[in-house]
Amino acid sequence: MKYRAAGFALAGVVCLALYWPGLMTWFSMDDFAWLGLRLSIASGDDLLAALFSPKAQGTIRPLSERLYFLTLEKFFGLESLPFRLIAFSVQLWNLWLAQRLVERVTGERAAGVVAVLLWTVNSALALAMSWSSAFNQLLWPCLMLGACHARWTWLETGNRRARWAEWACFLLGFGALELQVVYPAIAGALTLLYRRERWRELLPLFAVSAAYTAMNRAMAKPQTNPVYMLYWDGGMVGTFGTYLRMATGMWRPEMFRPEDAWWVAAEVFVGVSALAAAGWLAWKRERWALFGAVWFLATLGPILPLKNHISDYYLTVPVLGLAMALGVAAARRPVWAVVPVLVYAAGSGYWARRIVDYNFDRAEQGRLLFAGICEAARLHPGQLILLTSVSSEQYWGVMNDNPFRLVEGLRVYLAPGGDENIEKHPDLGDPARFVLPGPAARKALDRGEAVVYVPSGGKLRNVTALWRELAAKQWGGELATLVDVGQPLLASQLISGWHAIEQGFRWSAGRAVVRLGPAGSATRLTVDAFRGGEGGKRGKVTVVALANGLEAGRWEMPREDSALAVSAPLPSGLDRGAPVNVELRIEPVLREEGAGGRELGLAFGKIGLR
Amino acid sequence: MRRVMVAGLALLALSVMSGCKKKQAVQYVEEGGSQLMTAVNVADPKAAVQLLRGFHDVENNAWRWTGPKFAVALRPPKEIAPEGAKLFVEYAVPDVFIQKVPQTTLTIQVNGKALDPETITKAGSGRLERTVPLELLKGDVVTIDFSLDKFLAAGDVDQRELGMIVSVVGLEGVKPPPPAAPAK
Repeated sequence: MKYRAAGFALAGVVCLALYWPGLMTWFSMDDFAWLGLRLSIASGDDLLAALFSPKAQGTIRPLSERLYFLTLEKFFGLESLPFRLIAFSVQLWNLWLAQRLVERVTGERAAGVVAVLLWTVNSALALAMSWSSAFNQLLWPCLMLGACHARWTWLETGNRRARWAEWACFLLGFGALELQVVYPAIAGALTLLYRRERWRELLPLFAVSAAYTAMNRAMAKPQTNPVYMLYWDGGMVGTFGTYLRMATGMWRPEMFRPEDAWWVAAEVFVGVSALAAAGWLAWKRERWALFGAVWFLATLGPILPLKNHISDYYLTVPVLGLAMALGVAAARRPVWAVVPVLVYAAGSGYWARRIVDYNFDRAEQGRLLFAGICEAARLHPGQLILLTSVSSEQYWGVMNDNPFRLVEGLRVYLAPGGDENIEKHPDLGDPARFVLPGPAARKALDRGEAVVYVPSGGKLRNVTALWRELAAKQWGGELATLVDVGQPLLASQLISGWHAIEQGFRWSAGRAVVRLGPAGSATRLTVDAFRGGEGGKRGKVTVVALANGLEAGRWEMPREDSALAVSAPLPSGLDRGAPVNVELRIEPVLREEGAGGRELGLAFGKIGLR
Repeated sequence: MRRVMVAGLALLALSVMSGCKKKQAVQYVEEGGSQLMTAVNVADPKAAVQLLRGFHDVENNAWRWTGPKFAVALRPPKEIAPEGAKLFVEYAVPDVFIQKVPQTTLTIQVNGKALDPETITKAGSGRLERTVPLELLKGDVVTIDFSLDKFLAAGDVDQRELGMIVSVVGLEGVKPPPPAAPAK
C-alpha cells in the first residue's frame, strides 16, 4: 500500500510540476464559444438543444464540453481556475485508475507506476492539460479506465454490480467523447486475453456502439470543410506513421524544433528502444502488451481518416496504451530501460513544458487584451471600442469566438483595415466580420460614440484623437459597402422596409432595401439573418437578394434552421462603380397580432459586399 | 535501478517546477494622446499607434512583415525645405519572395496623392526615398498608404499574406548640415 501510494504521489508530483502553468492558463479560442453557450438558452427546450444538439462534425459531448462550461461559467464566470482545477483533478484520478489497472491485471505494482509516469511526460498531454476545451481528452479516459476496472472485477469475481458499473461508465463515456464507440474493442481485448469464455457478454456493448455510430453519422451534417473531411484511403497509412512518430513525444509535423542531430538521435533511440521492448514483450507472449496495443490502435483508429487535421491532442488517450504496455517491459528490465526512459522523459517532457508554456503565454495575452477592453469600456461607458493593429495571435486566440458578448454592453470592433494583417484561416472564421466600415467609424468618432485602442506592449493605448483626424480625411461622406443593420451608425443607408433596432438586429418587412457603396473589387454579396423566436409558425422561408434589380442570390431556410449566414457571387452585369441597392424579398412573412401588427420577414444583421 | 529511474523523473519534476509561470500584473489601459513621431521604427511598441493597418507582428525585435497593403501615420517634420520633405522606407525583400514573385510594384500615396511607384525585382535590403511636396504635409498628421500589386498569397509561405519586410518608415524635413571639417 505504501509503495502504491508513493508511486501515485510521484506520478502526481511529476504531473503537477510539468503542467503547472496549465493550472493558471486562462481561456482561449473555442473556450469562448462554449462559455457563450448560456446566451443561447432562454427556455427548457433551449437547454436541451444546448446540451444535446450535434455540432457541425456530429460532436455532442454533453458532459465534457457543454455541462462543464455551462455549469462552471454559471458559478464562476470568466474565472478559469475552477475549470483548470477540475481538469487537473480528473487527470490525477486518471493516473490512479491507470496505475491500479496495470497493477491489478499484471500483478506488478512497479509496472503501474512506470506506465503512468511514461504517459504523464508524453507531450501529447500538454494541450489537454492547458486548454479547457480539451477537457474531453481527460474525462474520456477517466470513464474508459473506470469501465475497464469494472470489467476486470466482473471477469475476476462475476460480481453483477461490477457489470452495472461498467455499463454506467460505458454509457457516460458517450457524453465525454463520441470515440467511446471503441470501448467494446478494448473490453473485448481484456476479455479475450484473460477470460476468453466470457466473450458472449461483449455483444451488447458492440450493439450499443453500432447504434450510436449509426445515429451519430445520421445527425452529422455533410462535411464541406476539407480540414474535417474523412478520407478513407491509403493516406491513412501515412497518417498512422505520422502519429507513431509523434508518440515519442519529441516530434510534431509543425514543430519548430532545432534540426540538431542529437535531437533526431534521441528520437530514434527512444523509438528503437520502444520497438525492442515491444519485440521482447511479444517474445515473452505478454498478454498485457497486446492489450496496450489494442488500446492504442482502437483509440487512434477513428482519427486516421482525418488526414488534414493531424494533432497531438488526438494522441492523449492512445499513448496511454503504449505507456501501459511499455511500462511492464521497463519495470521488468529496469537496467535496460533506465537510459531510454530518462532520454524519453527529458525530451518529451521538455516539449510538453514548451507547449504548456506557449499555451499559457497565448492565453495570458488574451486575458490582458480582454481585461484591457473591459477597463476601456468602464472608462468610456456606452461607446464602441475599435481595435487597430490586433495581431493574428490576439485575433485567433481571443476575438474570433467573440468573448465580448459575455459582458453586457460591450461592443468591440476592428477598426477599418484592422483585418488586413491577420492570418487567413477560412475554416475557422473571417476577421472581416468584426471590422467596422470606414464611414461608420467616422460617424461614430465624429459623434464621440467610439474610442480607438491599439493593443501593444501588454496594454491598450488610446489613439482616438489620431483616428478621429484620419477618419475625417479618409471616409468623408462615402457609402459603406458593409452595413450592420442592427447598429444605428449607418441607418442612413437603410432605404425602406426596416423596423426599429432590437438587440443587435433589425426586423425587415417582406421586402427591404439597403444601399451599399460601389462594389469595386468585391466579388460576393453576404447576408446574415435569423428567424427569431417565432415558435414554429412558419415552415421553410425563401430569401431572394437583388443587386440593383439583378438577382444575386436565392436561399432557402428550412424550418429547423434558426440562422442564415450566406454569400453569393455578384451578378456579372452589375456596374461596379455605382452604389448598389440590395433588395431582400422574404416569403412567407409573419404578421404580428393585433391592430397595426408589423409584417415581419427576417431579423437581419450584416449585409455587405466582400 | 528502479530507484534510479524514479529519482531521475523526480529530478525532472523539480527542475521544471522551478520555471513556474506567474500572471502578469499590468496596467491594462493607457489613456491620453500619444505624441506622433516623424519616423517610426516598426518594432517599437510605442510606434504601434502609428501603424494604421497591414503590419504583421514584430519579428526578431527588429522588423515586421507587411501585407499587400499597409499604412502608417506620421507627424510632418517641423522644418521642411521648400522642395518638400523626404519620405524614406528601410525595407528588405527576402529570396523566398523573389523566387515566387519576380517583380512587384509598390505604389505610394501621401494623404491620397500618388508619388512615383517603386518596382522591386531583386532580393536584399534597401532604402526607398521619395520627395513629398510641401502642400501634402499640412496638418498634424500625414497618412502614407503603400500597396503592392503582387505579393505572397496566404499559404505560399505561411498563412499570412506577405508583402515586404519593413523596419523604419519616416519623413525627413531638411537635410542635416554637412559635418564640420575636422580641425587641423
